[in-house]
Amino acid sequence: MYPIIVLSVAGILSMFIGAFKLKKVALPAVLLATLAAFGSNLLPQNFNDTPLYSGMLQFDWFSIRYAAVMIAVTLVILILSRRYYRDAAEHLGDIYALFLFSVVGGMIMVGSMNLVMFFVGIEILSIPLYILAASERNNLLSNEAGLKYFLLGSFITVFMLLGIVLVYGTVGSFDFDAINSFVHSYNSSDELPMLFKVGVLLILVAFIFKISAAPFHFWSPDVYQGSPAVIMVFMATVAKTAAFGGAYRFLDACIGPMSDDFSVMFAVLAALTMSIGNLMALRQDSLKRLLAFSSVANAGYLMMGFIGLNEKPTDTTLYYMLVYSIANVIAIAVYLTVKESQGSGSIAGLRGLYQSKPLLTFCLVLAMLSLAGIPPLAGFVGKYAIFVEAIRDGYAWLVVIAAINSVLGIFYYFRVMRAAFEPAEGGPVQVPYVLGYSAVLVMCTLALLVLGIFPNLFFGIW
Amino acid sequence: MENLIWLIPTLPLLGFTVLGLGARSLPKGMAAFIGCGMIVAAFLLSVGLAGPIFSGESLSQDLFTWMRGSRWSVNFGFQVDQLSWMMMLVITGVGALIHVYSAGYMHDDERHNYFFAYLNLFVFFMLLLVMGNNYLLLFAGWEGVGLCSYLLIGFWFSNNEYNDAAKKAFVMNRVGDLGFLLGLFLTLTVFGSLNYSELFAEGADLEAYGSTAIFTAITLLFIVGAAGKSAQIPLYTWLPDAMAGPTPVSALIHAATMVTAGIYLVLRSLAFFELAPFTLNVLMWLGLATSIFAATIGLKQNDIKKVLAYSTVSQLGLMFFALGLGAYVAAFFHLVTHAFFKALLFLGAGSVIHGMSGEQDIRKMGALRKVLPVTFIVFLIGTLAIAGIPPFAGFVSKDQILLAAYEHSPVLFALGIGASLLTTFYMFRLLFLVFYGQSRADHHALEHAHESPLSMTLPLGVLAVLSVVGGFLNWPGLMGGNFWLQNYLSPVVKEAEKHHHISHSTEWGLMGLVVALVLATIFLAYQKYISKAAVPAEDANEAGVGKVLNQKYYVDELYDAVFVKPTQALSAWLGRIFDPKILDGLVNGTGTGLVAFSSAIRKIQDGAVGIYLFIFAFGILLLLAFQFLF
Repeated sequence: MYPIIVLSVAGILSMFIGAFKLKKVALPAVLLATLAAFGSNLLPQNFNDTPLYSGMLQFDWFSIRYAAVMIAVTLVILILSRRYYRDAAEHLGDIYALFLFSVVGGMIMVGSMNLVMFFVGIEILSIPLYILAASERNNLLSNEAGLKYFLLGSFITVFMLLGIVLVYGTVGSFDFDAINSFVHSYNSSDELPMLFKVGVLLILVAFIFKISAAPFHFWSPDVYQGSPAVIMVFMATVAKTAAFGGAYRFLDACIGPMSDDFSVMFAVLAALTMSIGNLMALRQDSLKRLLAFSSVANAGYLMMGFIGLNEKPTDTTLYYMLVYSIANVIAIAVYLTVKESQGSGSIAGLRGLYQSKPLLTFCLVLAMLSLAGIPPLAGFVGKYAIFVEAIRDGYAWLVVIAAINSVLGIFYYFRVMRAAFEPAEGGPVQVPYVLGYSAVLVMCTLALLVLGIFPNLFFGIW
Repeated sequence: MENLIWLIPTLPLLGFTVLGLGARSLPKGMAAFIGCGMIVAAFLLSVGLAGPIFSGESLSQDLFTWMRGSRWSVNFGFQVDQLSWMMMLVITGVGALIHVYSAGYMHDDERHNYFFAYLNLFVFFMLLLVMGNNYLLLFAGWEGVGLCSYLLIGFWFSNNEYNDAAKKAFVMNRVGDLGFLLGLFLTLTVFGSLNYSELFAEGADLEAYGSTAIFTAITLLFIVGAAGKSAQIPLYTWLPDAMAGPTPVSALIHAATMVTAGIYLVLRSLAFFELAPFTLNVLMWLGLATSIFAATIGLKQNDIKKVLAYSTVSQLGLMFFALGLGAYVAAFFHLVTHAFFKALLFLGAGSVIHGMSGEQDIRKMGALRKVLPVTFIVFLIGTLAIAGIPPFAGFVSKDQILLAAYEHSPVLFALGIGASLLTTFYMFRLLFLVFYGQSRADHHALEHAHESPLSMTLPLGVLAVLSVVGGFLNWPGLMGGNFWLQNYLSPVVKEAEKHHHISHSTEWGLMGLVVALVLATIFLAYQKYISKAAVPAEDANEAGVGKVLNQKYYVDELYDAVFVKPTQALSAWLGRIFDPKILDGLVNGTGTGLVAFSSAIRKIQDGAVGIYLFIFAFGILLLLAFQFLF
């Protein structure tokens, strides 16, 4: 509960900072607030295992874990955004405020115990994203990304609302506990009213859209490509973490035993999503677009975690999300550096990076290796854990497809790595130094290594 | 000493870290010293474990729990038994020699320090591979060595061809790894564990877990992995191309250690393989076919390293052949002796290349025995060893494989001899063309030709000695030996039941026959390349069978047509469907100015969003149908 309050207040204050044109204060203040939110999230008082506010929100271990990951990743993205927004003249305070509001929305989503709160959360998460996607006002691509995201997002929202209405119509309550006991009152989910089942499916559709899984993934490469890089990585990491957390919350707390009904659907969609994502990523020349499709592919792997939800912890998904986020942040940070000096965001633009920035290359290489799932990096542990769980649930065919896909993925991640090692035609490029940038990147990179060798540092805490 | 097991792989890792961080600031001599020192120290530590190992114990050290899921867990720990100890000695011993050699060979390279960093990293992963106490650590090492191999093949990355070679090695290995990984998942599903101590515990009844079909599936998947790593048909094509890397890399990774990981995997999983007779048969034929196939290609290659590369593929095939025959000790024995003489040959070849200012084409060599006397002697020893002249190391190990083949059937024996005679022929062809006859080198290279420095000749000398005496490790009882290696390995590797025993006289007879045939082959090679002074034709002038061999049976072209092109086509096709060109235009238009933008936007207004919405709606209907109609 506390981090929601802290970040909401900080967001409003940040808008004040924007109004008073205190540009220099904006980032430190926002960082401080984010740190405070992270700390307050871990306070014992923050924990409660009965829903607060008439059964609206529940900050149990599940929400706290997801909130912790979201806030931490946001913190890193904010630090790295310094490079990106160095020269931005206006609205910096507003932009940071939108970041914070979006995280607040994510936390509400994963903590909600009521469909109304749930819906509010998803909208608070999304609306700032629509604006952020379009925040580079002079760039037509960015404008287009924002508009497209908004149009498609609203379209899906309509279906989600319809779903909520159908569920409410059959159960007579928005409350997760009430809906859960409604499901339990039937012996088997086959006997559930058809309208209820359709409603649930429509709500799930919204998640499939938010995590950019097939067949609703079309928007994400376009939107990711058009959005400013910092926003893109925020969407691919924090927003997705929120969407996955929300989906789990819904599947687990709301429809409970019924979630098994969707296992086959999720398995098929997961297989489709990862295959499309990987095959499409193979032929991308733009690093950003490659990462966008890789994000689609990873959504596929993550969806495997939706299968057989009833008897397994959701730790593996969160772990995967965390290490995927870290690797993605590193990749985008390198992208920003290269873009700045080369003016080109293509993979070929990475050439010569090794000559001028060996440390940055090292970070990029480890990030790519982690994404590719090469042991002993964290990405491998994440994939392995998810695959093993799926096998245990009897989805061997899915794991075979996933394993083939992860091999496919290695190709394009390695293309990126390889480009970084190739010599540049025009000699090494000079990149201006930005305070703390490399330090944060190296720390993220080390985190990938440490989490890979000692995953229990993560799994053991909770 | 036994508490320090963890230190053995940690030392090279430490070396990598120090060298990697200090690559720019460390002087070359210092870097080489650190690089070599770490491996030598690891070697000495390994030797220090001899006591308990010789008394038949298996040492283990659990460090911590690596991963824990809700229903499974994997430890991070080491296990040193007789099999892994011998591997460790080969890795760190031969590895140390090659490190010392590299100090001379790479001395003038501007990325000298990185080279040692990568080599150290490789040794770390290789040690992890053989020392891990479960399959997942083995896999981690397996991936790690593949990665180092990739980095080192492409070490001279300014050459695009080299990059392609690195990429190819990577692709082939990935295909293999996929098989291995699936095998691991299957193992975990069936047995619920990946720890050796649980899977292969004394008296564990594996058969209770599954049918022969299960074991066949697991082992076949393992073989796919092994074929990738150890360059067997159909995944062997990367190894010859991998010769693009610096020669010490070829010696260490692509001859002595990494490529033998597949054999280690099979030996480690013998309990599974024993229950899958079908797989053993596959292994046997696969190995034999690879052995002959690669040897025939070796006949027509003209790059000194390519010849050795095909010879490596062929010898690895022979080891798989032996495994398939059930002659496990012979296979491992050949692995060890092969590590000696093939490392020797590669380093010798490196010395030739070094002396000849980078020339690798044997048609442009000749008469080098006077210019490079030391190199000549060691190369001769290596050639005699691989050809199978007694009492050199290769003779003893190969003879034991052929004997095992004879026990199975005389046909296999004959085919095995065929493969090894081909080896003899192309190796002597190489020797004669490089060191004898008239010099065909250009003047420039010849003027600068020089013998290599001591840091290079010393390791050559040590390896030469090992290639001579290596055979005594498992000297046959027939000739007064006591099969030391076989007895030593007995706690881990037990030979399969012999089909029927061969009498001493038959054994002597077979041995004599083999040696006579080898000598005859050498004579043939002598006739052709010394008496008649034949020089291989230019590639373009080859015809008929010669051309097919010279072009390596066109396998690369075949793979390209069957696998690479269709995948690209599929990706492009998907691109047309799932990533409409409309948007591609938008994406790529960033640099092309306003015209592109306006037209792109017009296209959006034309309805890209509309199309998306339509697909969304259709998708929702599809999901509803999927969920509620089926």
